[in-house]
Amino acid sequence: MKHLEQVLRIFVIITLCLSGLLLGMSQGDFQPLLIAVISAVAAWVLVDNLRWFSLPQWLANGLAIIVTVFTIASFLFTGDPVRQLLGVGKLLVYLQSILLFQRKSARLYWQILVLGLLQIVVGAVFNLGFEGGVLFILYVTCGGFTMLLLHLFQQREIAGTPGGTASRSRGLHAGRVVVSPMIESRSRTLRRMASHYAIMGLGALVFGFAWFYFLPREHSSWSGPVEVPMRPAGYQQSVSSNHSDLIPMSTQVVMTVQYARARDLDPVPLQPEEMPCLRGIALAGVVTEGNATTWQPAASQVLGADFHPLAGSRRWSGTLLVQKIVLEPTDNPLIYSLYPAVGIGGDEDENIEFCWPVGCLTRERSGDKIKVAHYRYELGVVTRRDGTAFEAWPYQSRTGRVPLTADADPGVYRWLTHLERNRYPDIVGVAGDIAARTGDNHARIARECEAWFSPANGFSYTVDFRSVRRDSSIDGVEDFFANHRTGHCVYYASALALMLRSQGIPSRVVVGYRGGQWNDFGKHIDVEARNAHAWVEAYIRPDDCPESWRASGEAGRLGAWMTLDATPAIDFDQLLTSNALNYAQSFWRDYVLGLQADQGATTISRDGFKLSGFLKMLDLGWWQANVTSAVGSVRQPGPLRNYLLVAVPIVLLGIAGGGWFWWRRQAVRKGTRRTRAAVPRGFALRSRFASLAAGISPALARWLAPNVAGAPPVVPFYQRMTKILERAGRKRLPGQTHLEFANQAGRLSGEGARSELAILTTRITRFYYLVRFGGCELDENQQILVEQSLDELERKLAGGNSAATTATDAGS
Amino acid sequence: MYERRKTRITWEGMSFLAILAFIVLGSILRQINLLVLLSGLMIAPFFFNWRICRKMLQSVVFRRRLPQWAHAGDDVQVEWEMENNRHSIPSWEVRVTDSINGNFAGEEVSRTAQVIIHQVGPGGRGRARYRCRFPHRGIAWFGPSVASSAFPVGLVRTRMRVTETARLVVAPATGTLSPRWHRLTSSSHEASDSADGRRRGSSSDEFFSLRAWQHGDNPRMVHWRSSAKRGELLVRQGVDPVSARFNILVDLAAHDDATAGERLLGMAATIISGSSGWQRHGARACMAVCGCDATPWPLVIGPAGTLTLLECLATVRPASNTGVLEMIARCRGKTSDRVIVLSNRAREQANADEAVPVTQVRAATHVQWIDVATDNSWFAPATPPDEFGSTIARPTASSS
Repeated sequence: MKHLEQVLRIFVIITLCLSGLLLGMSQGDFQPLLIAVISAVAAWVLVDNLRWFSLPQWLANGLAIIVTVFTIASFLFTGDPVRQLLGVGKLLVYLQSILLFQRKSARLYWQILVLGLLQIVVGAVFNLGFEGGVLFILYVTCGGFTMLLLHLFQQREIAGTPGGTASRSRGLHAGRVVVSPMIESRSRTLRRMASHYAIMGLGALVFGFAWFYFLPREHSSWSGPVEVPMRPAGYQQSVSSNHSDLIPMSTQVVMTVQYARARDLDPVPLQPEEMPCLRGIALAGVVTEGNATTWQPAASQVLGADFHPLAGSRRWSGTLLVQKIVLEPTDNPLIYSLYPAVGIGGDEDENIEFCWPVGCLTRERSGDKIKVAHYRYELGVVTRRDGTAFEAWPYQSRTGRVPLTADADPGVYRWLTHLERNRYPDIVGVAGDIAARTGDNHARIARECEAWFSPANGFSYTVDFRSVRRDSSIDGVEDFFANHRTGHCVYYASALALMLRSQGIPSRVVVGYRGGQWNDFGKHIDVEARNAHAWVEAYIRPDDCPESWRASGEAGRLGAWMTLDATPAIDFDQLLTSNALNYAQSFWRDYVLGLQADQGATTISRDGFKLSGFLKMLDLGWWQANVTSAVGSVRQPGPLRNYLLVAVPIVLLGIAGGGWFWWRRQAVRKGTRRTRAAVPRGFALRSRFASLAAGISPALARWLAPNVAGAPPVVPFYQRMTKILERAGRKRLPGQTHLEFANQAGRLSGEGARSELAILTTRITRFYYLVRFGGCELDENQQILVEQSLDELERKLAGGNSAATTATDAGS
Repeated sequence: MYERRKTRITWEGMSFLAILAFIVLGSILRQINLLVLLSGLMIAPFFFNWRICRKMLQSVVFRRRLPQWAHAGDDVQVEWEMENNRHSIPSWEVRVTDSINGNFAGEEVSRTAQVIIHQVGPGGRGRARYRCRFPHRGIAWFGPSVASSAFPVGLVRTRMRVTETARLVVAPATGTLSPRWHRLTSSSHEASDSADGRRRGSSSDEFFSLRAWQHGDNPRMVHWRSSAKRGELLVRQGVDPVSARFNILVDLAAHDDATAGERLLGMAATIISGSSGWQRHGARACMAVCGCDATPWPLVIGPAGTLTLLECLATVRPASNTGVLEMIARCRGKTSDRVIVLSNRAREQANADEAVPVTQVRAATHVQWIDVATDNSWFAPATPPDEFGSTIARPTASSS
């Protein structure tokens, strides 16, 4: 009982830590985890093991009430559901901690587990990434086993408690029940139970996932989290060149992107060098403070909110691709796209708005879904015929059909060319040299300035400034440009934009994402937080636009926004390989957290109940189409063919081997004596497997080799006798029969072979022969006799040992 | 024997269901996938618990084993055996709740005892035992009982009523007979002295017969050769009992001091329980109990009559007119003319209470009157136990 409770306590602690960790992960606040771990361990040591103190029930109830009132008061009236949920999560942890410091009973353990489960519920409402998903499954498994242990503990607790209606002082006292342990050891029983639990747990997982996929869903977007902590990289609406030492490169997935020739076609796989730049928002305003240059969006200050519905398809001289993007949950209304982007005429277009002056795509702000769901959208994007992105896209003016010049649109022009020249003397000076060398063509000046940031001029890329010697007395961008020339995309983009502005070329910094990892499982690009990027857009006058731009549609009548990226290529090659973790992350994101109604096995549509997903496999047509497609794929050389060439023989061999095992096993079960005798010889390998498997699951070992595994069979009472004799220093020698051993072991010094001990050991051994070799079962009387003999043997040997010890002491 | 299995949701299951309902509702209303998955993973143990715990009690047989009688104050060991007749699925953690009812010392008592049979493999048997102690004489009824299982996680419990009942005679507590009693009885079976030689031989290879081994027998008395031939344990039985030597009448008269009556019954129970000793010597005696619900005639103290006599001692109530004198008359020629009357009243009091004077029967039979109420030199009762469970025996259970 004590041993069981100790195991239960440990599992309760593990479960609590997992629930606290999940809650902390989901909320981005690990205070609950800290409290849960500290209180669980402290209670285990101080209350359960050392028994120094325990909270009386009245005090625990009082504390719980006080904590509840104070915690609820802190968040109840905020009106923010997110804060309320965070508060509920913390309250659960506090209550759990109070319970932990009480003297434990089965019911108290149950209450603790329930509070842990509620923490998981709160955590599941928030965002849980793939790592959280793994912990979630681990929690479910651990929690289930803890419930099993708790049930065993409760059984023993109840069985040890008398029941009935009689008074305690008089009458019958029949309720004091003594429950006997089994002859086989408890650890073995628990191990067997654990193996059975493993099978049940597996079944429960299958059941749970089947329920998950077959639950009918309506046609609406389902989601994982209610709210997620913001990811700063890529979503920032201002970037600064302050002196941060180290920028963390998070691999958290921000969005997934697919490109297809048409909406219904499969995605096009992209090579690393083809990864697109997904444009977010343009930052035109420069604010200088201290030694930092900060870029901010200019829309609100200069241009105001001037949103137009996304333009329909235009005549572009290029290839139209359908871009499908799934944004991780965020409350930021920005959406990202390769530019130029056009609508594709779907219903989703109505939810997307486009601000032409700053080139910012946003999604509809109304409705809760902006916070709670993965956001999926499709846009048409135009690339050149060779698949590369356009260099520019047409400029459109808010103030009328005028180009962006100092005369035609002075307000916007001044804003986009604003520069404190004396703050950036080197930048202005180098830009002036380049302009003097290149001429008056803005497009060429821009290209030359972009090219200036080459390794030949000493520029290099880094996100770690700890080893860079910097001058904090001057502006960070100027310091970067003039002195160390080491930095990341924000420095490059800032410096380039400032160079262009110094030459009267309107320019702005653009933030978004560049690159990503091709995910072969999901057939999409995983864009991670570390792919956040900044580059420059420069306004090119109509006269300076190359002819090719006009021909392809990149430049309009009023000019064009030219895309410039001065940042050197980042070596992400080692990161661009897809692996099993990517697959798992994709699966969790797309088929668990972000499972949509039409992805599940059953859906509820306007036409009624509809089966899809897995149930499609019941359709013969589906099989025919897929088999035809698969055969077609196999005929062509490729990775699938290679996989099949390896996998098919292995699977066939496995099936054949499994069939042979099954057939031999059936033979063992039904077979005659001859078959049985022949089995061990042929089953040497199998017996080894079985003995290996016995360490994991005895049931599996018995299934593998019913006659071989575990041989010789254990006869518990004989095992007990050998242990008793071993303790007394008597062990069976090799080659000695059991009966000889019994005679010898029972012989005390100075006594004959027929001593009392010898009678006992011989008697037990004879019963052992009956069971082990005669295949008999002892009846009740025989078992009692054996038990009595064992008790007597143990008593006598213990007495003999103590007598011997006393004699030794006396002699010494 | 067994009634239909019924499944109930436990207290833990109810709270689990409440949380589950909350999660399912929340997941559907808020359309949160992770909560749907969590609800699925919570439904699974509930469903499995229901199916498994119903399976645990399918194709199983329960048997209760307990002695036919016990003495008040003695520990009684009740054993439950469960036989699993399924072919593949073991039974885990089956709880048997036994009800114990009875009337003891004028008090209706109802208690429950619970045992857990941890694991019984397919086709195997498992056992669990509990002990109980009855401080007063009476009849204890065991059952009907309830077997239940909530394995593996205790959210759902399946119960099955086992209607089999058993009866335990709780005889009066035994004590110690004084040497004076032994002298009295030895004078009654002097003839058995000649059997001493045979008694001595009883520990050697000579014996009268073999009988099945019973719990409490000396293991050294097992006759291995015959046991091997018969396939069951047999022990050597002593010499053939010779004819009876005396009659004992227990006269339980209504008395102000109730303890005197209990002491009287205790002495009678001690005589019966110790009878095997002098029976082995070849002596035989008859006993009759006189009182309310008494025995109609003297019964031979021996294997056949012991249970009846102890049951009578367990249930007999004092009476003002016990009919002891009529019984003395009946004893004439039953075994021998010698009668020992154990009473809680004086001979004169009996003479006054009974319709027939004692003196009339004295002539016909040799009557020895022992007044236990006033004379403590014959019997010393054992100290009554304070509370059950002061000694918890080493638990023993097994499964095969």
